[in-house]
Amino acid sequence: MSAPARAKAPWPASLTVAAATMASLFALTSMVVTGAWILTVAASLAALTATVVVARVVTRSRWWPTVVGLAVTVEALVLQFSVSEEGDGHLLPTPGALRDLLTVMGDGVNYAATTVAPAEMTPALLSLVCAGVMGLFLVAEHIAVSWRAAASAGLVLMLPWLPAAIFQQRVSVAWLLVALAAWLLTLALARRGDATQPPSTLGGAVAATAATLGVSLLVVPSALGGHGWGIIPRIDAPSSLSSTTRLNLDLDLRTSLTTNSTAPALVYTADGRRPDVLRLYSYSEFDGVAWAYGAPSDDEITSTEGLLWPLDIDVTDATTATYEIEAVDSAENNLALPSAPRSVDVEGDWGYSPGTDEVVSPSDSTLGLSYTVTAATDFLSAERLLAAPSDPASDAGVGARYLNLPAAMNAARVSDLAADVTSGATSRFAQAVAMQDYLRDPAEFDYDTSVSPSGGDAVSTFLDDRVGYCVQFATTMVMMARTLDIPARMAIGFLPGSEGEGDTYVVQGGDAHAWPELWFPEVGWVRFEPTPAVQTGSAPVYAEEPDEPAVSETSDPAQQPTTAPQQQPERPDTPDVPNLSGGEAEQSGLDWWWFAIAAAILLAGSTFAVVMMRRRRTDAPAPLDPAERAWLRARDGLPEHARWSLAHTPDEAVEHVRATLSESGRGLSPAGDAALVNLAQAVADHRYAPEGTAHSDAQMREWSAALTTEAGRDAAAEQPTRR
Amino acid sequence: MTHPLPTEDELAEVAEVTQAIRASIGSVLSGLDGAITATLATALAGGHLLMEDVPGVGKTTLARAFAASVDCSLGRIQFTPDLMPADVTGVSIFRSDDHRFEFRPGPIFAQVVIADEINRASPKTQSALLEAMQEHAVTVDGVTRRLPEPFLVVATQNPIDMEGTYPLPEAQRDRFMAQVSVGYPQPADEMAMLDSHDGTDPLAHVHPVTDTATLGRLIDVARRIYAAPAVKQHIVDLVAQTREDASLRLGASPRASLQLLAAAKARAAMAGRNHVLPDDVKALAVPVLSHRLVVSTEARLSGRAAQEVVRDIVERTPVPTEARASVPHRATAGAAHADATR
Repeated sequence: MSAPARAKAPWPASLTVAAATMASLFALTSMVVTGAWILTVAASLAALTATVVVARVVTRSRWWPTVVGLAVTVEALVLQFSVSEEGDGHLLPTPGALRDLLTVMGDGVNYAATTVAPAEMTPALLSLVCAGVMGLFLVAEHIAVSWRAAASAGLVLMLPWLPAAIFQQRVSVAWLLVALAAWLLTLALARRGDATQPPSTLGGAVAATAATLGVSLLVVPSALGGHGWGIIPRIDAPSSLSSTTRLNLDLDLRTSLTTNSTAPALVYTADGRRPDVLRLYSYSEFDGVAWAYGAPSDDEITSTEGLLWPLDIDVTDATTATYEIEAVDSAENNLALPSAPRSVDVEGDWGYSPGTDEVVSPSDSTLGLSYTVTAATDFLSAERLLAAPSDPASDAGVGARYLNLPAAMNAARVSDLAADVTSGATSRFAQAVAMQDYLRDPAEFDYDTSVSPSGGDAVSTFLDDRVGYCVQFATTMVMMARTLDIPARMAIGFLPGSEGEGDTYVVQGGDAHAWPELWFPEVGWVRFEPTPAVQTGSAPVYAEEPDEPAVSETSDPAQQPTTAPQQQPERPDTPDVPNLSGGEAEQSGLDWWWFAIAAAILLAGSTFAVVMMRRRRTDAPAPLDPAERAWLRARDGLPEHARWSLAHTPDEAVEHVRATLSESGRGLSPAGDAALVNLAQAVADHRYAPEGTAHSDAQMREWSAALTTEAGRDAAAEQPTRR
Repeated sequence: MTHPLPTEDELAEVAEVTQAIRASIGSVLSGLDGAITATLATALAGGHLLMEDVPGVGKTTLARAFAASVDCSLGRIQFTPDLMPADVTGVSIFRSDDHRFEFRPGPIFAQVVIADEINRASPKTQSALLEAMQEHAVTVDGVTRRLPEPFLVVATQNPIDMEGTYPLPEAQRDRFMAQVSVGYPQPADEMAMLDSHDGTDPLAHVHPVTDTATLGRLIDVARRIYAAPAVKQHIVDLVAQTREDASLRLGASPRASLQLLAAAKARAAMAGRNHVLPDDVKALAVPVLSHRLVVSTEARLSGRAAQEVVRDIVERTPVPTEARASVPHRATAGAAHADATR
């Protein structure tokens, strides 16, 4: 009696898992710029796969191939990416090498956290991707091959596709099909050996499925987007009769973001570069907790003929772009306009308000309206802003209301903070950038759509809680600027949306956004971007670093001022995925516990799944060996009334078959009887004799077949209607 | 602790000798194959046998025929209500010529002891016999005396509802390895019996076909028969079923498991096999298990006897295959033994 030897692992399934893993890598192409680095990943994965397959062929152990694979993974990462401070590589995964590797991967995490999609591949990021792909392969391979739970492995292989699915990014259907095909192949290859056995890992598979799903839902959002699941709350819930998008003009800083609309609000085409934002309203009055919108009075409104920009700027050096905008489902009283609009062509009772820089109508709604706007696209540059006078006297043309500070606000605190933040700045532009950078600093503030209701001073609450969304960030920057005597206002509008059909772009309700605009003499109102949420992208290029030579690049019309909007994801109302791994978690210490809990759940989930699978396995019947299989097959081949019961011993089974077959008229032929007796003897020996059976598997199969043939013939002869 | 498996020669000897004994008994009693097999299996497994049946069907004859077939000392005790323990074990009597006590062994000091109508004696006397069966020794006046080996007690009893009986308690019935019922003979067998008993005592013609030394050897061979984990699993399954069956108030004890295995090994040895088959277990499940069980009142009222319940359990309990036995296989010491002998 031998121990039931575990069947050899179906190592070809390891190859198909590798193929599925590699194909799944292409789910990331919308987030990372593709290039030769894919070959690096492929080579690493190929080496790992080869090792694991060899290990599978050599040993029947469940764990060794994975352990060996893990070692190879670490070594491959060390070899390729671990670089000491002196710039030397490492050969072996010594503690020092591992430390350096972790440093490199940490850099990758930081890079992923700060860059926008699609990210350029760097060695640090590549180390992350490599580690992710190899780790994914090891986990999926272990589940599929060691535990023969290829279905559950599919869930692991699904993980790379999850961001693309959640954020509705374009992925290559071909690669998705390749991944699916490889997974199906894995299912087929890793199937349990015997069909007569019921699937025994059902419970384990269910547990693993539940664990994986739960973990995916917890970890992936936290890893990819922090808890930033939206940009701005300023969308009213649609009325019951209409789903029309309308911006909520009561900007109250105490409310949390709860509404995210995916309904298209605007559709536009762009001749030239896309706009960075589309502004509808500008605010000047803030009472400490909320902005109050004041529509321009009639006498402030002028004709929309001529230049819209309040200043007569020289645009000869600026490229212009023409936008045809259709407010398909946006009912506003103001037109959405890009920055630096030059002219607008619109039908109806529309006028321009130079004071607030808006195109308004006292009666008409934008719903269904189509209009054409031309705008200067390369008008703003760091040089121009640096050259603007910083002298408060030159702000004479701007209303004093843009310098008002609400009485409810702790102005001293904001003022001190602004002075502190901008202490080294020599120009208004440098001050603005310093404030923007301060607010965008992940070490200082967290983007979160839920804020705690505050008292009468929302800015102080924000500075205490250090958590908020665009309205809080923008308001704080406006107030800080005003304490520095920089005229500033709040602007409300939309992010530039995502690509729609054809050449069009679609702006959804969820793309609503708020940002501060600061006054620069001889330039005008200039947008800054203090909100660090990933979907708002990086700060406008003109506002990146005041004295950086890089700024001059923006004067090149081919490269663009505001890169961020160009890189908007398909659906900015959900968090973008430019950071490939736990980037958001890097933003502050607060997020660490969130990430740690998710990781703990992941660990607990997988442990639970493994334990469940183990238990199912222990309970499950061991795979049948050839003798038992031949015996069962012989039984199944008999007419139903002649099949012996499970309570029959082989000898009794022989008697039963003889009796029932002779009862039905024709007994077994001597050859058939001999086959039955021999097979029964072989099975009895196999089961109960110390030396097992001496007969070969082939011999037993032959007896089984002979018996089946004969019994079938008997049954057909005696009972033609019976199968 | 690993015993060598019996060799072919040893197995052949077992088969040959038991066949001879069987033939010898068969010359006296015909048509009792099942009872004879159980008797032989019990003897080879080193157990004791209980025969329960109505008077006059050949219980004592079977026991005597077995004793006569083996060249061994035979003791016979006819249990009566006034039988005293000393009548079984023996007494020390004072010899006045040399002024010392001398132990006069009772009938229990024999290799085969026939305890006739054991349930007619008082419990006190029954206990004396049963203790001797368990210990293979008797203590009289503070001196423990070993009983001869091999030691086989064949007790007969009348059904408990007969007049003047003291039914054996469950604990004492558990001491017997097997209980067989002789049963009324078939008409043809009864005819043959009438012929053979005509005028002569058929037992007088029974001659020993083997001796106690051989019997001891056979017992040793039977002990070394291999039992696969699947077979042990089957025994455990059956015994577990008796403990769960609604018709039974008392299930089989772990001692029952041990004795069922020992008896099955003996039956396998008698068939010349070096390993036990579930068929051995099945064939002996009724004799080995049923007398230990207590049928629930409901089942008894509906006319179900313990034998019938055990037969049902045997019928419905699946025979373990290697796959089913693989779980305990990994866990038990028996598995290690199995692997070592492989």
